[in-house]
Order: sequence, then structure tokens, then C-alpha cells
Amino acid sequence: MSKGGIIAETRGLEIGYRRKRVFTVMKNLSLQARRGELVALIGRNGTGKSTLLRTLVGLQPALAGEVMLDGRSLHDTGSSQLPRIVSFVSTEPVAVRNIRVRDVVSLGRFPYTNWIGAQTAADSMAVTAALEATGISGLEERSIDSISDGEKQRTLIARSLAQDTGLLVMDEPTAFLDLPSRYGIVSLLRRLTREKGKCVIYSTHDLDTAINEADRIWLMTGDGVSEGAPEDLMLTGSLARAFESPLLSFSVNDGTFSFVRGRQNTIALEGRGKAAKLTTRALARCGYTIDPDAPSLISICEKGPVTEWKVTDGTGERYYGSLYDLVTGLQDIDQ
Amino acid sequence: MAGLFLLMLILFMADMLTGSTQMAAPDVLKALFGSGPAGDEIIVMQFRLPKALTAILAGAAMSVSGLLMQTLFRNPLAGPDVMGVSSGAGLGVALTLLTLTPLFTLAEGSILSGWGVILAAWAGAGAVMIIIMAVSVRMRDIMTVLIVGMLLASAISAVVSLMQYFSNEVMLRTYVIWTMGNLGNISYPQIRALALATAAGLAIAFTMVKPLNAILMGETFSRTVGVRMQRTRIVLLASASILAGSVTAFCGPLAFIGVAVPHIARLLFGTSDHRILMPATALAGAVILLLSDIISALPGGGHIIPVNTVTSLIGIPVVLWIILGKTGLGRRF
Amino acid sequence: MTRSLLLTVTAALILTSCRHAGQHQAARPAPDTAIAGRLTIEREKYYFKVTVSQPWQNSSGIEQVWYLVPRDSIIPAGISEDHTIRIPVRKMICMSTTHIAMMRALGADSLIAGISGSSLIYDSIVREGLRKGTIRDVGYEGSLNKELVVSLEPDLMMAYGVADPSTGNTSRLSGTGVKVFYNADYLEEHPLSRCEWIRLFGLLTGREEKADSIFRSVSGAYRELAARVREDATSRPKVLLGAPWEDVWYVSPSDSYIGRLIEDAGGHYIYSDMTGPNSVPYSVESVFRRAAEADLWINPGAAESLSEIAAGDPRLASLPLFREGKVWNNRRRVTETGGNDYWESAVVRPDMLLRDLVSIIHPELMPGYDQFYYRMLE
Repeated sequence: MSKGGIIAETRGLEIGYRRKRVFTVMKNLSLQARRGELVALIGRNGTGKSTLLRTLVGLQPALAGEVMLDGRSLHDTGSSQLPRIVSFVSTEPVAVRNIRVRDVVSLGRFPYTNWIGAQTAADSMAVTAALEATGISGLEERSIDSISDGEKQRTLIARSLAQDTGLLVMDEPTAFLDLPSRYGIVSLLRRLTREKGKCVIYSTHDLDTAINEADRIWLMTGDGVSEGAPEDLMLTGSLARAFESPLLSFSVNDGTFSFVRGRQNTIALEGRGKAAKLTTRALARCGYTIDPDAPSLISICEKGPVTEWKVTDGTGERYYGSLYDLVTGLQDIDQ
Repeated sequence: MAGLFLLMLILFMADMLTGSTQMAAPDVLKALFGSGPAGDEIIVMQFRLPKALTAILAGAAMSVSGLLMQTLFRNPLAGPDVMGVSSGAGLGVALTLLTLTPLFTLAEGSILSGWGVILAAWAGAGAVMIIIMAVSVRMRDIMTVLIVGMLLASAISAVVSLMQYFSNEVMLRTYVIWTMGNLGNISYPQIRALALATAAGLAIAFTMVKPLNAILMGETFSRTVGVRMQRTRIVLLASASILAGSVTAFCGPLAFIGVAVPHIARLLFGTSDHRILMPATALAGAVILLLSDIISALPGGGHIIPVNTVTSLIGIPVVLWIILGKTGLGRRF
Repeated sequence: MTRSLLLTVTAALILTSCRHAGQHQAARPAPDTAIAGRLTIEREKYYFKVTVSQPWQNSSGIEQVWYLVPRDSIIPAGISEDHTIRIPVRKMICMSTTHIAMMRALGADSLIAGISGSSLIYDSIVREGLRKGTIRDVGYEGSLNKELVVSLEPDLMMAYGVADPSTGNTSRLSGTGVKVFYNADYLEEHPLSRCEWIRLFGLLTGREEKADSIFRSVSGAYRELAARVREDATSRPKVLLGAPWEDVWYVSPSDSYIGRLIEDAGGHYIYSDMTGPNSVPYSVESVFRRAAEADLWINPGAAESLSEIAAGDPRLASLPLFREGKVWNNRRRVTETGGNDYWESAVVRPDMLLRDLVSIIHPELMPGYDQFYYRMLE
């Protein structure tokens, strides 16, 4: 088990469905993921991210090509071996009541325990460690339907951790979560790769966290999947192309997306520091760019804790006590 | 759990003490231990004891069968009656009772081989079970299997209705009595057979507690932790069918026990962990059926209420309460 | 017409109450007084008025009136053609085996055009007719073949009602022109009352005298035997009836057909305290207690042997009467398709039935008699 070795690989993989006729979602996929890597699978809705992940872990049969997990073909991996190599967290919400968090996490030891699920000391320790790593040790006696969505998600991740696999695959683990939870989950995944040497492949719609935290991005578009470091994809412009639209533009500097603004007015601004930056943002939202030669001027006066804005234009001087009032006032004049 | 076991023993004794004929408690006890008059002994040993034993076996078997189906299909209203096991048995019996030719001798008097109807019922339930398992192997989606089961049950009922339409009063009455369920007419050899089938079914079911707990969390979840879904489905269906099919063969279709008792057990023990839930369900089933038997003899004067009427009266409010109550069906288990 | 109706009703009421009052006497009024409670025949100038009271179950207060008018006479004024039957009839459909038996007894079987339920018929001549196609099976209940009934062009269809005809299948024939007579013989509770319906058939087929003579000799023989039993019998053995199915035993009331037969034969039905129109479901356990005290068992369902009974419910084998083999069933004259003469000719010969039962219940009064309809089970 070499650190950093390839743990998951696809060769010429074709994913899709076999109903009455074969329906291919995507073909010729050759991707890789290494131990200790955090891989984010991003792409627009409906491109087939779930299908790829499910095919990767063997929940769906591949139409062609190969999936290699830990050096062995998925096809040749026995059904008792597979759960020890890869664990999967799906996007389905939990609809069970009356099961303790600890019991759910313990189900991760399924491949290792006997017929009745009796746990050895090693099993117990793995469960406890998983609970600690995901930060939910305090919840272990609680019933799973009594905790928050974020805690539920952590529980499922803990289960997949308790399964003690080298590879963890997760389908949209941050869906349905509020912002702090989303960041919390991604940072947890990050720690799992750094501290435990796991490879985590997860799909997400949170571009900002993916771009900032993932070691490798699998970018899925209608044409296929490009992979590389986030910055690689930014450099080649693939990221921008994948998501840009008449309404959205990608800024390479910040690595963020922003709305395309319509007609722009100009206004001059005097001020420094945080207040100036935030004033610029608010003005940009309302369609103003900063131009020192503009006819109207906004001056920021900071008097201790209180900030005031003075607008000087053709009609004279006006004072506003908040950015909201400033912006509303400007828009009123515009009308 | 120990409390439930005790309750079962108490009701067992109570069931022995009550019956269609008047018998004072001390007389019953004397008869049990062989020191009473011969007539009493026959009543207790040949009538009451077999009934009570049957109630325990049938109650445990039907309830666990319902539990297995509810978890496998992840549907709180699943049960042997829904899945067509009872209908299949009914078809077997209908073919035996409602066809016009020499089988007229079976009607009004039941004096042909006591095993005739039983074997027919078993065959019917077994046939349905095989069809459902075949469907289950081909269909990945468990919901499809559930729907096929329900449609099969309806189709069989329609066929049986047709047969009833063309039969005469005597045969009709005989068949209808069978459908009311009864715990009585079971001889000791038959009780042995039922006990064997119940033990086998329960044993198989109990070996499946680990996968059952995983299945609760969803099909994807169970497959990813290593449950072999195809094989597990077949074992669960087989076990559920052995349990329900055997009971229906000997006692007729018992209503509502399969559906209601697992919920009662869930409520009592507040857990969905099958390691606790399964034995709890079995005990609760035995308790409820013993209670139903006691109630069915209540009118006195030799009259009895058919056991299905009593189990429906108990079961329907339970199901309603579960659907409408705080627990809320929308939230599943 | 209203007056004669009133008379008939009053007569029926009086006769019915007479019947109940005279339950424990075998001495009956003179033979030519009608004793069938539901059948009233009145002779008018040149035609007959037949009234059937309570033609089906739970039909108290309901009556059906038919006018039997000879073919060459005119229909009296005020009487509709729908309620008229031209006699003698040339073709009849008989829906019950009792009707067949009465026709056969009168020698009028050539008039039978159709029957119902061919597998349950005992009479060999009728079965031969079925085989040859001169008699047709019109089916029953849901499978009643309306077209066949109409195509046979019967003068009359002799049917029996179980419930209000509108709920049944014979009502489907209304509007086809086929006359349906709801025969209530099977609802009569005394064997002689049932037998007396042969008089109706006598009128319909133009064999009145024969019908009368049959009835007189049968009822005479019956009463004579019943009287002898009353005088000579020194005991009243206890009799068990019926058989269980699953865990239910439908117990016949004591004022039923078979109950009265047993009474007249000098037996004591163990449920003599139970009266009513229908059989009542009891648990086997409760019947068992009384059965343990019975001396004889009669009519155990469809059993043909003791081992059949034991196979159905082994507990019954421990009954004292079982161990002594005192079990008789009415299945001596049965065809291979299940037709039982007990339900056929026995209705016309209640005297033979009584003889069978007396020889079973009081063998000392009829030593060496071999039963006709009954057989001891082995």
C-alpha cells in the first residue's frame, strides 16, 4: 500500500443504462484518483455525475471499459471483498426512526462482523474512532431522526469511515445543508485525506469549496470529463467554459463566479479600507463602476464607529447613514 | 421483553381457562394434570390446549412474517395478506371446496382426509411464493415486486369470487367458514407440523437480523455495506412465505396480525433494531392471538366469534392509530 | 276474491298454529285435510286456486296465488293470464330433486323437459333422459341458462326461492313469458307436510287421484308407525346430528325436518331445547359435551366411514357412541357423481324414512330390518 498510489482508475469506461435499449450517458472515460487525494466531481445537473459514481463503486454495471479499484478490476472483486475496499454514501435522505446514531455507524462494520453483528473490540474501536473523526461522539446515543440534517450527514460519513476502506465515494454529501455545515463537511473530508490517508471522491455543486480544497477536479460536461488540479482547469479555461453563461462570468483572479452586470453607470469614490471595498461591492450590485472622472462623487466619512456617506452631484450634497440608504437614494435619483 | 414473555404465559393459562363451555378453574387444572374426570380431560387436552398452542405458534409466525415483509419492502403496510400468500392459500382451498364434481363430498361435513385442505392451501401459498421470488429475481426495484404481489392477490381473489358465483350454498358456506380463520380444528400431529414450520421459519429469519437492519437504511446503503441483495431477498421471502403459508394452511387466513403486530412491537420497545424487534414481534404476536382467542369465546353459551373478526377489531384501530397518530406514516419507521 | 283470500289466510294461520300446538301428538286430523302449512288448494267450479304462503325464507306475510285452469276452459274474469297455468302441463322444468321425485312417483317423468344440477340426480330414468338429450340441464344460480329455458318452451318452471326473487337468478326470467312457480316444499318442517306437495303435482299433471292415494297411504303408514313407537317404546335414546367443519358445528334446530323425524321415531335430539329457523354455529368444544352423552349419531355430514370422521377431527373418535360404532348416515343410495336419493325419493316416502329411523333408534321394535336410505358406518 504505497502512499499516493493510484487507488481508483477507469479505463475506457462507458457509463449508462440498459433498459429496452442501451442508453449511453458517457463513454471513453479514463480517470484516476490517488490515495490521500480529495477529488471533487463537478458539473452541471443532468450530466451524469451520479451515474459515474455509482458505476465506479459497482452499484451500476458499466456498459464497456474497466474500473480498477486498488489494483484489481471491479469485475473480479468478490462481493465480500468490495465493501472492504470502497464505501459509498448516497444522496438519499434518511427516513428511519428509532435507530441510534451509534448503531447506524456500526453498520459500517457489516463486512467484518459475524452473522448477528456482534462487535469485537477492534470493531468497537473503529466505530468510536469514526464518531470522533466526524465530531459526533456526543450524539451516539441519540436516535437518528432526532438530530439535524448536518449531523445526519456526518453520521452517514462516519458509517462509511467505520467501514475502514481506502476509498470513500460520496454523492453530493453537502446537499440540503446550510453554509457552515457545508464548509464543515468539506473540511472534514479534507482532514480524512490528510490525516488518515483516505482517498475521497465526492460530487458537489459547491464550486467555491471544491476549487479551494480539492486536490483534483473531475469536471463533467456534455462532452466528457476533464481532470486536473483546480488551477489547471482554470488555466485552460475549461472551468469557465463549463459554467459560464450570459448571466454568469468567471473571474480567474478570485476563482469565483459573479453575475454579469448590465448597463453600468459611473461614479467617483473617495475612501479607504474595508468601507471602500464594501461600498464598491454594493455599488457594483446596483450597476455602478468606479471612475474618478465621473460627475458624481461619494465620500466616505468615518467618525469613530459611525460611518457616513456624502453624495455630491449636480443637485447638491446629501448624507446617508447606511449603504442601503445610499444605494436606494442613488437609484431613486436615477429614476 | 421478560414482561412480554410473562404476559404470554399468563394469557396462555387464561386461554386454557376460558372456552365455549363452562369449566371452573380448579377443574381445568385437575384435567391438565390428569387427575380430573375423563370428560373434562378430553375437553382440556383435546380442545383447549391445542387451541392455545396454535394461537402461540400462529401469532408468532404471522407477526414475524409481516415484520420481514415490512422491512424488505420498506413499507409499513406490507404483510402476508397484502402479498398474496393468503390469497394463494385461499385459491388452493377454493379449488378443493368449490368445484362441483366428486369433491362435493368434502363439503358440509369436512370428513375427508383432514390433510386435504391443508395440503391444498400450502400448495397455493407456495405457488404464489415462487412467482413472487421469480419476479424478485428479475426486478431490481423492490417496489415493483410489492405491486406485483398486490396485483396477484387481487387477481386470485377475482378468480375465487368467480368460483363462488358458480357454487351452491353448501359449498359456499364451507368456503366462507374457512376464510373466517380458526384456531380450533388442529390435531396434535398437525400442531407438530406447524411447530416445525414455525421453528424453521423463525430460525431462518433470525439469522437475517444483520442484513435486515442494513436494509432499513435503504437499498443503496445495504448494498454498499455488503448485503447480497438478491440472495437476501430470496431468503427473506422464503422465510416469510414458510411462516405465513403454514399458518394459513392450518388456520385459514388470519387477518391483520401480520400487519399490526410489528408496529405494536415497535411502539412497545421504541426501536427498529431487529435483534430486539424480531423476538419482541414474535412474543407480541403470540400474546395478541391468545387474547383474540379468549375474546372469541366470550359470548358464551357455546357460540363463538370467528377469530378473524376479533383480530380485525384489534388490528384496524392499531393501524389507524399508527397512520393518523403522532408517529405519522409519512415518516415511515 | 278478497273474502276467499281472507279465508285462506285465516285457515293457514289456524293450521299453522295447530301444527305447533300438536307438536308432541302424532294424532293428526283426517287425511284429506291439508296439513302443508304453506300450500293451500281450493277447488272452484272448474279450476283450482293454489296459494303458496311464505314462498321463500323470511317472507312472512307474502303469498303467491296461481290459478290452474284446464286447457279447454276459459280463464275466469278478473284473473290475469300471468297467474294462470293451463293444466295438464305438457312440459315442465324441475329445479329441485324433490320435484323430480314427485313427478316420478306419479309416473309423469315424461313431462320433464329440464332439470338443474345433473350430477346431483339419483333417478336412473331421468339420468338416462339427460344422457339421451331428451331432458336438459338448465344450470343453477349464476349459471342459469336463460336461453335454454326459454327454448324448451316449458308450460311451467318449478323453482324454489331461497331469498326474495329479485336478488336471485330466476327473476331474470320475468319478461320472457316463462312461468316460474316458487315451490316452498323444502321449507315445510314436517315430513308429511313436504310429502303433501305431491298433490300440487297431481293437479298439474292431471293425476290427482294418484297423488291423493299416494299421500293417503304414505301418511297413513307414517302415522301408524309413529303411534306404535309411542306406545311400545320404553326409552328415548339420545341422538346427535350433523358434523363439524373446521372448528364450527352448525347445529340444526329441533323443529326442523330431521328434528321431527327423530322425534316421531322415538328419539330424543340432544338439542331439543333449541328452536328457530336456521342452523346455529357452535364451537366443537360445546357440542362435544352434549355429544358425549348421546347414544346414536345420525347424518354426520358426508362421511361414508368411521375413519373419514376420525380423519376430519380425531377428537370425535373418542365419543362413546363412536367407539361403539353407533353412527348412521343417509348415504346408502348415492350415485358416483354425488346424487343422493335421500334428497329425492325420500321426500315422497317419509314413511320409509321413518321406518329407517325407527329401526336405528329402536331396533327392538323392528328386528332384522335392513334400512333403505340409511347405512351404518364402519
